[in-house]
Amino acid sequence: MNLQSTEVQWPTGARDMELELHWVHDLSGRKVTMVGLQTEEGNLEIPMPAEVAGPYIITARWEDEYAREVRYMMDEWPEELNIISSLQGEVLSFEYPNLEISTSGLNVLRVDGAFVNSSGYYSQRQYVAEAKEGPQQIQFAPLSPAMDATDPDIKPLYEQALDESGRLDLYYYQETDGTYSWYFRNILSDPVSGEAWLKSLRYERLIVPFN
Amino acid sequence: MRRFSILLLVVLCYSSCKNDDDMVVTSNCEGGITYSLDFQAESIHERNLWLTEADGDLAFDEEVDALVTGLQFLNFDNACEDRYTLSVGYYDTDDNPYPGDYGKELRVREFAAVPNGSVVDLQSAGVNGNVFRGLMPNWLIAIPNCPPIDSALLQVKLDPLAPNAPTTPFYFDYSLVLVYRRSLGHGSPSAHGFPRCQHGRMAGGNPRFPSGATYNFGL
Repeated sequence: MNLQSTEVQWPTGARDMELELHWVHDLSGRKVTMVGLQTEEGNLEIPMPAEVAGPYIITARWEDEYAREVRYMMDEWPEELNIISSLQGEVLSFEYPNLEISTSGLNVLRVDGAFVNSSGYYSQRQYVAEAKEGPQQIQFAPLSPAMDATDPDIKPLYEQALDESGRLDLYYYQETDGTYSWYFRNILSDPVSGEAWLKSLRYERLIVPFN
Repeated sequence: MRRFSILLLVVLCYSSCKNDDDMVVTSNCEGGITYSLDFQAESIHERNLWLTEADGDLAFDEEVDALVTGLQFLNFDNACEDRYTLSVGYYDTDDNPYPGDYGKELRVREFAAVPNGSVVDLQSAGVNGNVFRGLMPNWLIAIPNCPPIDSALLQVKLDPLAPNAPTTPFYFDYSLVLVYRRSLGHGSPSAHGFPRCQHGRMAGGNPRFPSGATYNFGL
């Protein structure tokens, strides 16, 4: 085993820092193995077998006002890691199905929510949209009438998944070509090569709960 | 053979008529554009796909044949807009390892302002796009988007030695990723994990972890 170490610079005011390391051991097959998790402050130090070589995926998580995450791709083991995130976002108002937010520096936003009613019935919703700089109005879509007709429980489950517990996930994908279509092609589809897949995993993320 | 052919024709006609009846179009523009999507999702039951206009009006609503696998093509004729909000939902009442308590699960994914001609491939995104879904060393399994949890249960189907094995979360973080140690059922190539996340009561989905080879990689 070799002890690999990296000098880590965290943003000012960061707390609850965590570094997670994956080794991409089969790039064309897109297979990764987790080789380390460090939850204590300080430089990254991970013992690794000699056969572990790049590429590496390093995910840094921490909290300031909200929760943040940055994912890096490294072909070789880094000697230094300067962790930076410049995403900004806040929820201005929320009254289902309308959500008003203000963001800066991102290109895709996601809203997640889940709900369990008193009978134990479960619902989960996820909303994705292209992000705009500055204020942005979101109106969640109504439930499909065809689905609504199948069961009287479904509409409350549908609406309360976001009404009861919503979370805003703001993403900046570094490899974007500046269009929303890039997200569909590279994140929601099946990139042609392992290299394209690996690049698509680079992002910054800011998490803002809103109810 | 002739009887079989006639029967097949009748079945096909019925099937095609049924699909037309299932589709609800509430807004269209005669002579408008054809809005097209290439679409793929996990094979699930009672799956519906609907399109909503920017002002919230429903434009297209159709049950998707869950038996059809691979990329499917959606052509919405007489469309008024070249971008629609795409919603995909299913209401799963089957294949639940805890039917007494968790008989109903609704899952909906919504994509705003999807451009005409896009590919929306939820299956590839789920299988390949998420680096954290899969087996890690020491029989750890990660579940993305897990609701807040106090503890977790793992049920391994087809493994009589581990019908309902309690386990302890390895860690839980704000990004709602649960990682737990999977210590039972690892020998069965056909075993499916049914992890559940708990917060007071059990909730959550039943992601299918790939069986076979992916259980064997690691250090």
